Amino acid sequence: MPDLFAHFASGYLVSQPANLRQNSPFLVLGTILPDILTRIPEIIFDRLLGIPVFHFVIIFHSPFCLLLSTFAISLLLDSQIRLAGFFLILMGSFVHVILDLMQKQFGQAVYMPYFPFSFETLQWGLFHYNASISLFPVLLLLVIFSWIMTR
Amino acid sequence: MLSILENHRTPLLVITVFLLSLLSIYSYSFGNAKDKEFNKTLAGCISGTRNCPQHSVVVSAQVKNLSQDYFIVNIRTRKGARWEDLFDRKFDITVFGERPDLTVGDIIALKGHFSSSQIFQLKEYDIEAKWLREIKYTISLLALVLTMFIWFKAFGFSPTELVFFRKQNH
Repeated sequence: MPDLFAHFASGYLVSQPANLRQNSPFLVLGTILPDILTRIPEIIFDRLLGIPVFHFVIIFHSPFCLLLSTFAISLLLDSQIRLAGFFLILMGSFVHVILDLMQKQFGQAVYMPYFPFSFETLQWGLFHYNASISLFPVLLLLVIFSWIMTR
Repeated sequence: MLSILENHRTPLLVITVFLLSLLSIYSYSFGNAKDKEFNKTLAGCISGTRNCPQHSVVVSAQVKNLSQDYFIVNIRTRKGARWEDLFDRKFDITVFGERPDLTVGDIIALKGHFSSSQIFQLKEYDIEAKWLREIKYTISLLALVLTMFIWFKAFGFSPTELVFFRKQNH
């Protein structure tokens, strides 16, 4: 995966124009949602406790499961913000999946965008999976600059 | 439509979580069976009790010894938390091909094929330095904290109604 900051920045930076800023939290949450649901359990269970959960949680990088997850999250939103929240969180999570599909994994691809209809994996191999780390200083500066400008 | 959602929030939430759990189990059963089969083939290959895969494979290995033209590794054939239990240490595998800059004990992903049960022909490799992984985790944690900050600055949570609502001043 590109690091979580790159995903965060992708949602934060595009939602800073004045007419979109109010909905920034939804988009930002959406752009990191697949990793919240996949990587955090994976790090805790798989890497720290040795309980292999990868195949349980990788489904949260498939659009269909993100649709269901976003629906569940939107049920926890106040009715006045539910619809906007649902669509923007979903949009952010799809941006996340597209960015992840663009990267080049070593070996076989791991993401299953067609799940549960197919277990076929897919990767476009446009950049190395750690390439986003070298962009971190630039993205951090852009986020800080954007935050200062919109205060 | 929206009023149906509002009136049946809890059952809908339970059904959705249940459906996601079923999908998780479905994915796990497929993925786990595939992994088990691969690890079984790999363990059989390096012990000489099974035919090695004829196609290119990616394996995880720990470097045991280094030489000028080759290096010796132990291949990972198991899952688990204890790093020392994961690699099959009964069988040493000699890796020929490109000789990456390595030290003994490094964990490396190898892509290539077995020319015999003890010899691996390397095509590509990938090694992620520990410091790189730590940087990745640190900046990911920063993103998580910033997201929580942005979220809770904009929304409050009502534990009685179990909903996030937009704060008045936002």
